[in-house]
Amino acid sequence: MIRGFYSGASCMYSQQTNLNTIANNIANISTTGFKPQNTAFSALMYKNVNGGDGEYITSGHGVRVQKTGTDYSQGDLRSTGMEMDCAISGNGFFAIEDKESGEITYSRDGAFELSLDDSTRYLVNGAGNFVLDADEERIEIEAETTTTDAAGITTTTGGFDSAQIGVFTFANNYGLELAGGGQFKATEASGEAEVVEKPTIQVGYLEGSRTQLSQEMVRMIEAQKAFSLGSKVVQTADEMEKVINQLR
Amino acid sequence: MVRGFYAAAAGLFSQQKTLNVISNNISNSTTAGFKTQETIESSFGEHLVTRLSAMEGVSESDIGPGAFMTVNSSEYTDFSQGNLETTGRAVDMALRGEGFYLVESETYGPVLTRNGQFEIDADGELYLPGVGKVLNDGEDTISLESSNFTVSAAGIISIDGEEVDTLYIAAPTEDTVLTSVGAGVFQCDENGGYDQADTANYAVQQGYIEKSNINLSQEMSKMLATQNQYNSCAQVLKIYDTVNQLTVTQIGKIG
Repeated sequence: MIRGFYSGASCMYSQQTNLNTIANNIANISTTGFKPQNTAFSALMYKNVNGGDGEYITSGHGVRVQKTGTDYSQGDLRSTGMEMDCAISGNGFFAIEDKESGEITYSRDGAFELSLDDSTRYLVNGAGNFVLDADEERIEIEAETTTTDAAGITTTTGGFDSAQIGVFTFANNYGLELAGGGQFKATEASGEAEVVEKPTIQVGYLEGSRTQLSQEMVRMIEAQKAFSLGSKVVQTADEMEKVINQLR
Repeated sequence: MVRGFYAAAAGLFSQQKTLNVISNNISNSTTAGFKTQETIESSFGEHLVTRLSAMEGVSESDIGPGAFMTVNSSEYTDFSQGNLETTGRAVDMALRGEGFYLVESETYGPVLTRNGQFEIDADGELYLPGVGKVLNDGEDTISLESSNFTVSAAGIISIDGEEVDTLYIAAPTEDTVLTSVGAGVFQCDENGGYDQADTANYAVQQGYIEKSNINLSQEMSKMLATQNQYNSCAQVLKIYDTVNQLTVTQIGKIG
């Protein structure tokens, strides 16, 4: 078979993966704290077009998807007016402990709530998993009580305080593993989580998705065009094979 | 056999090879740092054709060279600048102007590439996935403590305003032949080499990637031309086949 047939096919495969990534980015256009991904391609091996001997003319074998990279740039903050919504401005992630496995993952999604466990109230995220403080402990929220002393000064104790929430950064964000549900896992490449001293947490705000629709649309058109060109190559190679088959 | 029979067959082979190169270009239309390749077809040796005739004056007079076959004799890579696309990732870098990044490949040693989609590995070293470690101006690996770094146009990497390392931007010396050895990387031939490029001739742009420089309409029309040429060769082959058939079955036939 003509090798171009397979190169064209490899183009179609990789553009499919590319489109999957783009579709996922667009689907998450309103997911809190979402970080879009992009697809990186790499050429396949090269060999001499004229076989082993003769003039050395290299020709490639097509393309493959090398990796997908995540864009960790800050998304826009939008006001929600909810008193337990938090958004990190700048670098960093909230630490979340899974309520069942106890595994710690990291997230930019700060839509928090209260959850009652026995008689203790914990700060949890939308999925009911525990939000952790700077020491990686669960955050207990005491009921808000207001007392007025004899001098008429009111003091409020308990209640939600965003300063309790721990924010962590990694030496290499790009090494984080995507765990689904807007969660990231630390890996060897990302390094250990390090606590941020005095992080800037905006209460009453959520971080919007980082997806830029116009850019994704452009990438989608590009992926579609590349895909159809790949299919044209397959078609051409196929027609050429057909010509050979009909020689006699 | 008729000589043209083999010439037509050689035409088929060489069009096939040309299609392989075109299809590789098209498949890599979205590969960062990819450079278009093209093959050049030329005739396989040239023969002096002489006319044979009974007349003395005409006999054995040269009628010029005649080509017998076509082969893919050489190739060239179009190293023109590709467009830049923003990715928002600090580890993605695009090169504007001349030069290549120098990457230590495990198989080929130091290789040149325009693909700047780097990553940081578990040891904190900058690497190009699938190829190897990126080298600095001292031809050593680049250690980064944090992915929160900036790269200047000259390729100087700084973390928190402090210079950490400098990228090696290689410019091949004159008459160096670059050979593609896979995954968008090039190797210098034995007689050539590379030197550090002059900082005035390039600019590193962080957060961008250089797109493939292929011209789709050109590739598409080349593909159509290749296919038509291929079909013509096949047609000629068919005609020769018929001619041969006639020779075998008709000549000398009685009745």
